[in-house]
Amino acid sequence: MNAKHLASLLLFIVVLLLFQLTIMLNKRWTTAMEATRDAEDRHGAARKEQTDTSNALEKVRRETAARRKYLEMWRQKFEQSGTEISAKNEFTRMLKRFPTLVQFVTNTSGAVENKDMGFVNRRITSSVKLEGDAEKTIQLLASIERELSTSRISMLEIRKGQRGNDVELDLAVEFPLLAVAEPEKK
Amino acid sequence: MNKSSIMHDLKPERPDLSPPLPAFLMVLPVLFYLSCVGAVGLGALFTLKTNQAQKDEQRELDSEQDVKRQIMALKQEQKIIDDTHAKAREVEAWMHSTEPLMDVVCAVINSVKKTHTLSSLRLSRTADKPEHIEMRIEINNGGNQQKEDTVQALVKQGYQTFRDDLIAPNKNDKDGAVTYTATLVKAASSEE
Repeated sequence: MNAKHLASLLLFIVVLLLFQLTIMLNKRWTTAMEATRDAEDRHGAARKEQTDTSNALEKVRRETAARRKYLEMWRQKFEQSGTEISAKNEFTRMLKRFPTLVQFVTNTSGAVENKDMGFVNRRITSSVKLEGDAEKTIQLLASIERELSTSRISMLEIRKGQRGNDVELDLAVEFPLLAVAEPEKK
Repeated sequence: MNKSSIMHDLKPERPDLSPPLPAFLMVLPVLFYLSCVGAVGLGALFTLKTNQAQKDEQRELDSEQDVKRQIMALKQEQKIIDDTHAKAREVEAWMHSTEPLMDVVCAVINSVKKTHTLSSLRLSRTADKPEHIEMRIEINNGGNQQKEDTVQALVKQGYQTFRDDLIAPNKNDKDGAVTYTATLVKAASSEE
C-alpha cells in the first residue's frame, strides 16, 4: 500500500464519518420530534383531564349549592352552642327566663358520640325537673324549640301538678357539639 | 475539469513517485465534496430542527405542568366542596331530627274535652330514630272516646300512629282511666 492508497482510504473513512455524523444528527432530530409528539400527547391528555375535572367540579358545585347554602345558614347557630359550656349556658339562661317555674333537679350528661358523624360528632343532654303554671311550662317548651333551634327535645313528660293549674315537667334536651378543629402545626 | 485536476487539487505540486490510482477512485474526492456539503447542510438543518423540536417539547412540558397545577387546584376545590357538603348533610340530618314536639303537645292538650282529664303525657325519641316519637298518655277519665279524639287530633296534625296499645285497668268502665301508648310518625305528605 503506497501513500496514495492510504490517502484514499483516509478520505473514504472521512466520508463515512461525515455520513455517520449526518445520520446521527438525523436520529437526534427524529428522537426530539418523537419526544415533542409524546409531550403533545401528554399535554392533550392533561387538558382533557382538566376539562373533565372542571366539568365534574361544576356539576358538584351545582348539585351541592343548596345544601352548602343550608350549612351557611345554620353554621353560626351550631357554632354558638357547639361546645359543652355554651350549650349548658344557653339552656340555663333559657330556664332563668321563667323564674316562676320551680326547678328541682338540673343535670347535664357528658358528651356522647353521634354515630356516623364527623362534624356534628357529639351531643350532650341537659335535663331538668320543674313544676309551675301549665301555661308558663308550655311557653318554656315553645321557647326552647323556637330559640334553641339546634337543640332536640329527646324526652318530655308533663304530669298533673300539686296545685290547680300547675304541672310537673320532666325535660331532656340534646345539644349538638361540633368536632374540635385540630390545632395547626407550626 | 480533467481527471488530473480533480485528483490532485488537494496536494501541492511534487514529483509523482508512485503509480497513479485506478480510475474508479476518482469518485472518492467527488464523494468527499458532496459529503462535506451534505454534512454541513443537513447537519445544520437537523440541528435547527432538533432545537426547534426541543423548544416545542419544553413548551408542551411547561403547558402540561400548568394544566396539572390547574387540575390540582380544581381537585383541591372539589375536596373542599365535598367536605362542606358532608358537613351540610350532617347538619341537615341533625336539624331533621329536631322536628318540634310542640305540635304534638298542643294537639294532645287541645283534644282533651272539658269533662275529661289527662294525668300524664310523655313524649320521647331516640337518637337512632328521631323521626319515631314514642308517646304515652294517661287519661284519667274519658276512656276510649278521649283516646280516639286525641288520635284524630294527631292525624289532623299530620301524624300517624302505629304499634299502639291501650291499657284499661277497669275494662267495664268505658269512660274510666286508660293508658295509651303509640309511636308517632309524621306522614310524608305533611312534611312537604
